[in-house]
Amino acid sequence: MLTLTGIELFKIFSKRRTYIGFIAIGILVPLIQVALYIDGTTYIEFSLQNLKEAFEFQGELLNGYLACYIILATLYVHIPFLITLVTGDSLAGEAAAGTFRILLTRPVSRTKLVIAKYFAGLLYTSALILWMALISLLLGIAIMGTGDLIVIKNTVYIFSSDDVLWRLLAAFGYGLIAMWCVASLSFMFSSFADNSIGPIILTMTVIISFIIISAIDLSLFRYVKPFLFTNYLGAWKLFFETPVDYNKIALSAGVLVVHSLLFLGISVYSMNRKDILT
Amino acid sequence: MQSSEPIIEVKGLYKSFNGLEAVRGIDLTVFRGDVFGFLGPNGAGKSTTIRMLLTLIRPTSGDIKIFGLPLSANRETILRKTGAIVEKPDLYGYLSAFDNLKLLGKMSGMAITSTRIMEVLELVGLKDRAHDKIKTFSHGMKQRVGLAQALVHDPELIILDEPTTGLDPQGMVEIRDLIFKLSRDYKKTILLSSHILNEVELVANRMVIINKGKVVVEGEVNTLLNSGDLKVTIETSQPEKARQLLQASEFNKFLKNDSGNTLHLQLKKEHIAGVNELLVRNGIDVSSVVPVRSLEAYFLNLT
Repeated sequence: MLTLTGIELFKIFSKRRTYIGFIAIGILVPLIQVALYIDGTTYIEFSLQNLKEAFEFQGELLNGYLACYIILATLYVHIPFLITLVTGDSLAGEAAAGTFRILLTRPVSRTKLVIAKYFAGLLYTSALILWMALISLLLGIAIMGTGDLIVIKNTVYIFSSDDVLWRLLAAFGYGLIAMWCVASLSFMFSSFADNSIGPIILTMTVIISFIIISAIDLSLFRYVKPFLFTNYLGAWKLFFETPVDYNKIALSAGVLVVHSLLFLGISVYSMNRKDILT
Repeated sequence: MQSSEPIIEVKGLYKSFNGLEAVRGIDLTVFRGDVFGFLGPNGAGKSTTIRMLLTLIRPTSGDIKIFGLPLSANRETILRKTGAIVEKPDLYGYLSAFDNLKLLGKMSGMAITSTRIMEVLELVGLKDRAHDKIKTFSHGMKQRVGLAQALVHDPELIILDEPTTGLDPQGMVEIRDLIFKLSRDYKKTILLSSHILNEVELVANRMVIINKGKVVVEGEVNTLLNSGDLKVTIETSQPEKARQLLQASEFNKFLKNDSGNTLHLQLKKEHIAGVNELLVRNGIDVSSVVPVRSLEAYFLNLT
């Protein structure tokens, strides 16, 4: 299995499209940080406009931690697209290129091959999230330094500087589980398709549709909402509350892991039933 | 060296796609050392059968045994000893020929050394291009890398599905020579599928012809070719005189239509000399006697 996963990783990282995600994050994150550095004070003033009538804020609110939080909150909806570029291509790309014919005539079971490809997809996803975490945190801290983090939800949470880093790391950790689920979904669609455009579009359509349904507060959608896996993608924000609701986070992570395994199971079943006609 | 040990045994193989029967009860046996021609027109069911032999497609029904083992229960054992090209030589274009062979060799469950990879690339005449990306290769070169990937793990059985498709005449000759070499020097058993009948005639010792998903005939190539009538064309500057002469002779029943300076006959091989002698003895200048001794004629008679 290790050899197979290694081969799949070698293939993934030999393709140009693999680096689109890394380049996009490598451009976008510094851009947001520089923009925040230049104009972040106005942005914070605007966000705290109402609160300033009741509270007095002291210290440097614009810092690397806040920038990292803003980047997480902004990009977690967009990162799935960069992930599906690779994971959506994983099986469908082989079908489209006709390489299944040589791949599946090797003495390797289809189940093992699918699982190896799946692990390779998860490792790519992990590398992308790690890259995002590193660049967000290190560059943010390098440009704006550290400081207390203010998070406004229904309540205002203020976390002291020494209480922030673990929360951000935990949030990235949860984000990893969430993005594995997205990768699994596109991987499953990839097992049905004979070209990689379909799985990429379908994954994004499902995610965007589910997010819209979750966001609209209508009674019909309220019943559906708990069953949509996208509802659990944003649970990383729970790390920025006090006290942290670990049960809720564990439950959300559990839902995503179960979905991921379900998507993998369907992919294995689909590939084992599939006649290779391309 | 041909033996009586069956390497591929197929019995009652069926495959239907949404009710459309692509393969309808094919039986065939390939023995160790055979270069076995698998012939049929486009759409006859050759590729579907080959895909079933390689587990790319699941049969609707029927039994496949390879190396004496049921395929479905021994897939990995069998594929470890099998190399194949299925239709087009699609490889990873973004990787070099060397890297393609390296990763496909690794997947064969054997330790494939760089030396072995270079050996195989040399065998197919691509040693100098080993580290160039496949996407820069011509179709013929890709076909040769395709053949190399089928050989890299030193399989006992090689299945080649239309290996010369899209190749120029020179490329076709090279592939044919390679098949000879693999059979003669490396003692490989080869199943060669083609719709180019001449290609099979030149390299195969046994063959099966299929049409519309069914076996039409199976046997030794020489035996099959020498059975039945031959079509013969005779070229002369006196076609009318030659025709009259033949019509008046015992060969009248073999005469078919004529065109220009050419007479067409359909007859047994042993009658050709007699026809020629009759014409020459009567002062007819015969410039050529060409027997169409090919599977093409044979195939057209059968299908």
